[in-house]
Amino acid sequence: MAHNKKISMFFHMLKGAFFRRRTRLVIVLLSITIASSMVSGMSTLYADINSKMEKELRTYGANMIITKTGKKQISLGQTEAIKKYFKKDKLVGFSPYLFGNVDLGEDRFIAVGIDLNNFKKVNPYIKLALKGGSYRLNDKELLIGKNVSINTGLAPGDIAKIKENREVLKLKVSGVIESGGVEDDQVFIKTAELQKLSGLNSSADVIYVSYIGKQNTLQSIAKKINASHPSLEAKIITKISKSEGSILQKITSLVWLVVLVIFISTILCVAATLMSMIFERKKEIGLKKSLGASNTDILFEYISEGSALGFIGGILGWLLGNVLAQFMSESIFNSAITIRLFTLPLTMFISLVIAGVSSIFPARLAFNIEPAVVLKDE
Amino acid sequence: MFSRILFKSFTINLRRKLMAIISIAMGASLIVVMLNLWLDVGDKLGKELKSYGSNIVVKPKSQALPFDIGTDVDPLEGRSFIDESDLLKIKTIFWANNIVAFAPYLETKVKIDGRDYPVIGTWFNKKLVIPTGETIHTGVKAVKPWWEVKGSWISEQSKKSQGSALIGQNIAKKLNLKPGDSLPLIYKNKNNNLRVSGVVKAGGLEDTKIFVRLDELQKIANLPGKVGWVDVSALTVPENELARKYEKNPDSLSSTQFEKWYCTAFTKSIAFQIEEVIRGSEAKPLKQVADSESFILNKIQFMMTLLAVLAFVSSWLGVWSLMGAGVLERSKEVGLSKAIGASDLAIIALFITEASLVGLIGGLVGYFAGSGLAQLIGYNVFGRAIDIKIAVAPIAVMISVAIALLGNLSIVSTIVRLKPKDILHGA
Repeated sequence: MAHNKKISMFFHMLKGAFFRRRTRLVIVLLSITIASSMVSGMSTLYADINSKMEKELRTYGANMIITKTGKKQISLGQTEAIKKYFKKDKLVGFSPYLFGNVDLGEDRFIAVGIDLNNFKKVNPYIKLALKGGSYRLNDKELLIGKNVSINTGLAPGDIAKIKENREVLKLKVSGVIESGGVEDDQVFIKTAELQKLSGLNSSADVIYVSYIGKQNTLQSIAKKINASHPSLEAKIITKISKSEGSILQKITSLVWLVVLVIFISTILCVAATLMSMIFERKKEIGLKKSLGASNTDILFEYISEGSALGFIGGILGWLLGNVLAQFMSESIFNSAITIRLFTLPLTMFISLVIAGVSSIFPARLAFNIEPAVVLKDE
Repeated sequence: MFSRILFKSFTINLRRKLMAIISIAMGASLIVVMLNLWLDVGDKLGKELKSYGSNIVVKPKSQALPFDIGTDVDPLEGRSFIDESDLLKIKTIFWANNIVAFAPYLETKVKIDGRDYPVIGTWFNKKLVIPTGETIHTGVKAVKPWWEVKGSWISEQSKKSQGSALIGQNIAKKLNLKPGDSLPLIYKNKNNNLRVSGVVKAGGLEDTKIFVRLDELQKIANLPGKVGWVDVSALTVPENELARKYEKNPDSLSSTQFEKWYCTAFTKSIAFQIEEVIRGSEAKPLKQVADSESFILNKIQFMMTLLAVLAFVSSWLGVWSLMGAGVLERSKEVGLSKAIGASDLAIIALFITEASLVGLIGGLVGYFAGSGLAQLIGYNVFGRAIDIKIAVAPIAVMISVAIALLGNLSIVSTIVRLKPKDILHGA
């Protein structure tokens, strides 16, 4: 019976502490929530930054190239077989190029047979030139590089006659593209049309691949391809993949340090707030002691109070942090962020530690407090 | 009297005031770190992104870049050239300091064992004295930092490098050559005996090419002082509305807009300035590098902005709650002051001054701590100091004072509403 009474008194005091000191409570809860939302938001963001940036850096285009070693071109069967070496969800672009020399007007140009969708994926930086028509490639159409347009005077909508051997194709210029590189001097048509012109039915001279992966991953894929297809050579475009490695590392460590700074400073800020609220509880402790509470009772009460606050603040903060990380990921990378469950125990741990430490402080005060001195109002 | 109360408030409640100052300093240092990083990250990352190589190609007007798919044309036939003597002028343009590196190329074909191979004359790591009197080193080594050379690089400065060549790894494999071997090149039936100095592993078209000193190829091909094209690696800023407007139609810019465009380090404006100084040239941004760089930098800068805003909000909330906590306990003091005749205004003035002082001290402490932290991050991530902007100091202090004042705002209404007897009675 007496035991029951003690328990109900404990809950009564806890309830009292929560409801009678509402403003203070809101402040404490708010502080803990801020700290834990930062912890969960920042760690969620950090956990995803590498894979997100990896994807973004694919804007530099192909990082692997597969060429033929001999004269024989790459067949459709080989192309399909090679594609299987890449994991689908990591393969950003896979574009076979078939080369040919064609006559267009007075000059001879390099014609490239492509599938435009794949081409765009390995060359995301290539855009339409000024007044460039539209960036599409249907049957009976061709795209021309900017310099080709300047040299031949062809503009979007014009009909171009391209010749190779005795074959002639009449194609409509759909657009003028610009890269600043070699593409500006080439013409692009559908692979099937170039096959018609050349009379060959091979599918490619080279294949450009844009794949999300570190240099080592790419290296091992290239090795596998080289081992099983001796007539082909897969090579890493070092310029892209090597630079990517170093940039990625810079970005991740930058974000890591920034996140750490935000993390620590928020926690310290919140801890300072909680500490500052301690001193006003002297009187309360004095009163409880004078009514017969033991040091252990007070210690227990404050720790429970702190844990309860830490628990609620931690959960609220975790939820808020995930919303925050989601919002940041959506606005920076246009893609959702993976909610990581490991952040939940991390966040709870930190919020409980903050709340716990700052509630143990007033409890520790309890040991040294003389009720008479405190209640006399200093 | 006012200053005495103020003084006492700081000395008696020293611990509480210290807490407030520390907490504001935390918030302020966070803001300082983020502001400094935000202002400098574009520059720093831009430099890192230079590892992707050049972003501008300079070539003779309306000339195609050589692209080899195995045809039998002499790459030098019927071509126009850039004068090597003009190249130094690249370092005299408005954005000269943003030019990180550049390398000229001259490409032709030579025969080895009766087969054609492309050979390129270039600068490897050439020492140049630019018109300002400064000495710089530039060449492929700086423009293509991803090259791995087995053997040794060629140095333009030493006499010994005469007759040396770097060869691409594919050629080395095909002809079974290694550093130290001799390399007989035949150009137009004339024999030139070179020596392999190193093998280049570049992972690109360079693997199938031979590289020699520019002056040597000019002599072999009898084209003194001529250059086929130039790669330029420049630090640029991401494109904005103005840059896009220029791109759409250069004539649509007003003269002030043009001036602004000219004086901003966009890839296009740097290219424009290079065209101005090199006769008969056309400088074009290499979209793969220039556009991607712009895209990545914009992303990172945006991310830093969001993080900075977040840091700001979180430190503000943190400090605000601390202030709120402090105020609650001072109601008794306010009640007493009112009871002995202090006007609302006098009490508010006291609180405001106190808050401003706390904000000022906290802001200053935070500024120094934050600058130090930013430096630490700069060294850890980029191996270089972050450019600390003085302008950040007043901003940090102002924000700190504002935070401290805002934290105290809620008291003002409390003070006005307070009735001394309620408080002093001990509610």
